[in-house]
Amino acid sequence: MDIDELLSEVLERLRGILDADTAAVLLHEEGTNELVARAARGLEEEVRQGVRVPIGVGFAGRIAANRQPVRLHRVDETTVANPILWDKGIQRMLGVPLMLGGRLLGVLHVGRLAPRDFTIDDEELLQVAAERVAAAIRTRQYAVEAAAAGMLERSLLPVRLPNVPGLQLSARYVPAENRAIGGDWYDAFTLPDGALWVITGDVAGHGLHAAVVMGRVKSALRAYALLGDSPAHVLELTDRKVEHFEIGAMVTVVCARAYRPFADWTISSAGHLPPVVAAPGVPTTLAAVQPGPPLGTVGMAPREDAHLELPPGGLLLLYTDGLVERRDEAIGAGLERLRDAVRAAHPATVSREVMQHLVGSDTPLDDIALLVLRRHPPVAGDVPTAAATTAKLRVREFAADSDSTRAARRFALEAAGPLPPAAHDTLELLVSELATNAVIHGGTPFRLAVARHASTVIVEVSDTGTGEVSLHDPAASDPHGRGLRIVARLADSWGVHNNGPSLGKTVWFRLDVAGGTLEFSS
Amino acid sequence: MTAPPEQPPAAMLRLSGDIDLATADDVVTRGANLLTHSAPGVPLIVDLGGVTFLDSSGLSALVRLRRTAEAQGSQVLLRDVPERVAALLELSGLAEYFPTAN
Repeated sequence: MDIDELLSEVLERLRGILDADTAAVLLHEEGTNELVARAARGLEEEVRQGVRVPIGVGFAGRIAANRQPVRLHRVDETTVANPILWDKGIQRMLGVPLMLGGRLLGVLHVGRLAPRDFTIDDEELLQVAAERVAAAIRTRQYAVEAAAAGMLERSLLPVRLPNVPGLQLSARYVPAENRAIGGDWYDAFTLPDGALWVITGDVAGHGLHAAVVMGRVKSALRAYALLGDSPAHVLELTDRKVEHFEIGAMVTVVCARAYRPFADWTISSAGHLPPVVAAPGVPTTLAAVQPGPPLGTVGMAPREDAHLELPPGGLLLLYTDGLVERRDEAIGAGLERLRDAVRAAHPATVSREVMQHLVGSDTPLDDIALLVLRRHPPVAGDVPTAAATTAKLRVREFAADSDSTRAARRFALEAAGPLPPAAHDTLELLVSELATNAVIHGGTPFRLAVARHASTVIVEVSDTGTGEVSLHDPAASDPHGRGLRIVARLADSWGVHNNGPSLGKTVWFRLDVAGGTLEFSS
Repeated sequence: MTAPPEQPPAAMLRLSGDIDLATADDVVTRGANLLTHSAPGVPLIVDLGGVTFLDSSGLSALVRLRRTAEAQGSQVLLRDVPERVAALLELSGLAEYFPTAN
């Protein structure tokens, strides 16, 4: 039986037992601190009209405020705030608070149209009924809260980490014992300007409320990051939002931002534990990031950005305090153990090792969020760009003309030098696609740069047009939108770099041309 | 690029050279023209034997021709498809939409 059916049935029986004409339940709404009519018999309009009563006002409001039963021998505007009750002609009323474990859940009341007083026996009987109603309501609310928390967990956790050429990413989220979700989170996203943001944070508190605040703070950080400002400024803006809209919340967070090739990181911390930095051949350290105050604590604090150099193969690890805090030791000892457990290996390996060493088989007392990233190690080759490489580089400018795509193909094939047949065909196709997009969407002359470095060919097409680059998944009947998808499928890596306002964009790809192992053509 | 001057029993569009941004519109114009002058239901056969290069602009031309053909109850069949063009059709998920005629 659901809660509304149950309440209806209880109210109907109370009317019979107490010889009453009306019976109603109002529930306490914590957000507004008001009573809201939830079920009624003989007074159905109270529920239909969504009657609300502030705590402390009128008959039900006083019962809720004092948490004491009230018997009324006169019902009019001086004793009852809700006009529905006196309009109805109710002469006598009796109400009791719905309490559970010292907490107010609402008010249960009955009324008589005849001027016959409710007795102390009636009051005791109503209180017994109220205890049972309160228990049923609470059980139901727990079930709703647990279901909502489960849904929130699925909606609030990142679906997957972004695929970022030149970087590897890994993340873990482990809620504390017996909980579906808490206030910890991690986030990683790229922006149209090419920036990669990685974030971990922790909303103080537990359960559904912390999770909801977490969702809003996470969303605010993303929105402010989109404005293009530095992590410190994004934290300042988010702090103002938390101060104003999330009264009483306290949030620690660390934000790190970098652009390709992800060597220079800008980091700002609001009361959060320092990220761990590891690199090949040097000792692992805690990042020198001076934290500002947590969000929501002091208001409008000016915040600072720290800068961090990450060499090729370097690793950055962000985490929340559940990873290092133990009841029986100082936090410094936990940080020490974390530093010992982190090395510049593949992020998935590091995540596993860190969880193994710091959590092991213990059930964590607090939520843990963990985010690990690593620049591609130098042996595997950092993502090269035509401009940066020391290899033979050829550059030519072409007009925004349909004949240019053919000229661009010829130029690229010549600049790349001898290639196996499969690589030849693939390079020709991909250059044609980028040149076509530059002519159609850019509408301005475009620059083609081609570099051959051992078994790698790197191509960049830059134009100063304002056209957006986007990846489509066209239907079979759609004549357009296939070019970039072909590049994405056939290139070993590719990307778009926004060169800044009115400077246009560069679309690049890298092709491994060794041995003709490409699936495309042969 | 060549023209299909001879009068085949089915509508036949014979393509050669590079099919890209510079030539794709012309392919569509010629193919649509053939369809217009064919009896309803007569398929348009596109012979790709002489094609040296084809990219997404070329795919776009084929898709547009297929739409035109369908609008008049006909279809587009491909003939003599070079291996690299077949691979591109496959990669783009279009292979099954372009049956071959031989």
